[in-house]
Amino acid sequence: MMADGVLAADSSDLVPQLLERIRVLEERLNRLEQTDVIQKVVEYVCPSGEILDQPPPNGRCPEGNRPQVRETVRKSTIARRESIAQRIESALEDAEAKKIAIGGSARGAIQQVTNGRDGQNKLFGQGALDLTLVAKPMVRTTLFVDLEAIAGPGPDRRLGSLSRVNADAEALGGQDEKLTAREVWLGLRFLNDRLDLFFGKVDPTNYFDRNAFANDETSQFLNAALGNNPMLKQPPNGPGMVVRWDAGRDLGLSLGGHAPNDLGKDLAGGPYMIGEIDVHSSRLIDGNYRLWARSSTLPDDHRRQTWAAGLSLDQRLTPQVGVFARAGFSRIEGMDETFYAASAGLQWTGPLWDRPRDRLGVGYSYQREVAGREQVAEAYYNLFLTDRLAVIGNVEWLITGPNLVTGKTNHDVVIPGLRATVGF
Amino acid sequence: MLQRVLTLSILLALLSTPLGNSRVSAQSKNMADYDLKTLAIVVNRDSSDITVIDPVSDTIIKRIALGEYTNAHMAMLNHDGKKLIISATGRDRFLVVDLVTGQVEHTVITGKAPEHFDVSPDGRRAFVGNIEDSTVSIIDVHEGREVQRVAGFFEPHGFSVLPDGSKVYVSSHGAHEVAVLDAKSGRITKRLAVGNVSRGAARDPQRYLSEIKGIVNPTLTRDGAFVYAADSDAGELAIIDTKTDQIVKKLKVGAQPWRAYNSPDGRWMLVPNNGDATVSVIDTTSQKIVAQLNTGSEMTGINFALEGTKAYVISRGDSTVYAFDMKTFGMVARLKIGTNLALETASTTMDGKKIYLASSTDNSVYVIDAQTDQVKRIADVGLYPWGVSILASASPNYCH
Repeated sequence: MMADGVLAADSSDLVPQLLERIRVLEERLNRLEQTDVIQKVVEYVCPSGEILDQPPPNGRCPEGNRPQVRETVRKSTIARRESIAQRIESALEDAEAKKIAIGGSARGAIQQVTNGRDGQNKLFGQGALDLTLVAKPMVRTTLFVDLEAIAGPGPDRRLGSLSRVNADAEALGGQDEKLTAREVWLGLRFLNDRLDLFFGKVDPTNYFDRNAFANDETSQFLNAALGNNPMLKQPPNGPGMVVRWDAGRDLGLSLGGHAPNDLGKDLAGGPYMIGEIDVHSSRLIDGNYRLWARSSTLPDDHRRQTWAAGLSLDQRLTPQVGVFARAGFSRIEGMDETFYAASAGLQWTGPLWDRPRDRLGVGYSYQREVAGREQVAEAYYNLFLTDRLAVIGNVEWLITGPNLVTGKTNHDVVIPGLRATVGF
Repeated sequence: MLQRVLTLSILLALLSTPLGNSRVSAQSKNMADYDLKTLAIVVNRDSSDITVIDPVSDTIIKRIALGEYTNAHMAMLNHDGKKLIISATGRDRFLVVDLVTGQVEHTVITGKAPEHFDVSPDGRRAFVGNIEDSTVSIIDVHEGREVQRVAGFFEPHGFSVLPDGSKVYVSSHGAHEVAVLDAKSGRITKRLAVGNVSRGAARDPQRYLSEIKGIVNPTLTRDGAFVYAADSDAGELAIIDTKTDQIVKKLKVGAQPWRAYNSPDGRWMLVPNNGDATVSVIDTTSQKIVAQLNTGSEMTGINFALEGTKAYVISRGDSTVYAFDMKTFGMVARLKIGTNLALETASTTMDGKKIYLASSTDNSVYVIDAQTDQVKRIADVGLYPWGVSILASASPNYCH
């Protein structure tokens, strides 16, 4: 310690050493009384990028153009009185808050059915509130809970489409409103973070048949056939387990086992088993290729097995534009026919000048099932407002397909819609 | 009996003499016998000292104490290959240390909390960023004095001196701009706006007024013709023409880009994006993004090895180093260094075959063999090693 060294010095060294010690302490004390503040300021920016704090002479930049006047933020250091105890308390509060992270989102959607028949041309509204909790009770362990309140059945109450025009509303399972624990699972990591294990109430589509450009009904396509392969036929969120092995070199292997239904519902029937191989490639910027296969029983006839296989591709062509495609087929025990589905589309990030975080998506899906064949197309525009707020306009074109409610056929039904999502 | 004991003792004494001599001869290799520009210099923040590692034997050959509360941030050998120049952040000082003798030759008082710096090609002048009072100290390294202190910055974080020594590019982490400093006069000749956050700040003031992540470093291309500066908040990278000091192009990289790292052949600039765990690969000839690599979280550095054919991306958040083939941009290895380690920065040896990586929380330096991707640990290098530099490194040195 400096104090010991000072005491050990002989008297001729004592004064310089004491002075040095005082200087060190003063420097450290001075540092403790300073704090940073961020302020908004106005700046003038010329086309060459040059910044001026005041308007240029004659209002023109050296190149002759007018500067852009805009606000920006800058950090400066000021002396402010704040006790050490207050700072420690604030730091401890921050650390405590990080142990458990609570977040969520609220979203609302309206969809207007047009060109329908038999009283289908109505406005449908739907809203949902999600509360999520993420905790890390131990090293390499994650607890995740997602509580969801959702209401508003969506246009399929009248249209009865095969593809399901509002994938978000499908969580209602036929009801008008629902409060549910959507997911509750524990995640564990082993073997140098190469092996992941999730078990609890899981959503199989979070682990299988994912796609970078067509997966999230809250921010991308609203139609379920574009969010996941219709041949996946995943059960409702319920008890399940997923194991994922990172084999290295951008190759992953996943295996999942899932109950045929949620707890409290009909659990008769065989388990839903699924396996997937996924490969990531950066040869052409960025791409993901997934191949899956599943086996389960029919939800309405537990004695009959059904199998399916499919693939999901997403590939960036440029940093802004990416394309996706899905395809799959399925067989049912006791039936000779093969059922299939295919979809494709693209996502364009930043299509409008000076709006680099907006996204435009266009997609088409075709499926052939027991109930018939359906074609649907959708386009959406995700308007980025802030990191936590987005507004998405979309339009779905139900080209042709069976109406499972009326038994008739839907033809050229157009469904424009508007969604807003707020994160917190 | 006593005679036997005496005889045995004499015999033992005679036998131990050659062994003793060999121990002495092993220790007789002193610092002057080493090629100093190949040595790995490790700056230890919390023990306030420097550790010197011999890359041939992977052993610690010297420790240099810098004085209490020094808490050095960055240390490198000057271009003359003899003097260590060190930012003593904890004491608001800049030190010049003789590497061979370990003596502090000059202690220069600077502004508050000097962190990063760059040195003119002749090794005479150091341009040091005082992060807490937003000034730049211009220091005469040979005479050991501050010649000028320049204000007008906002947390000056990164420095790049042009190869001809005429200008210095200074990036501000507390704002969204790069300043051009005339090296001779010390005057700011221009300030260039890299990222535009005006719309984002208007819509989400809570985020943009609580913290600024501006520009970490202005990275020069190998020929000094352009500067690549990434703005973390804006998610943009600006390319500055150093002849005209104008921004000639802006690229949309990933979320929260850290800074650009240039490959030894000058062909690529790699930009880790800490907001989405990717690395953008930019072709410096076409000035376009040609690849996007998936990596890990909280990346702190990129080192090139084996003549630039491999790039090692350091992920502090994952305690992992990701190795990529620079021809195919495919990941060739994922090196999990440990659990809950804070990996800091690294330096590549002169022959490009090994990388020395500082790991602060376990007080170690890890040695990565670029040919086999085997990892070896050198423990107890000092308290909280923050960075490694090798003067003759095959990959550009950096700090964070």
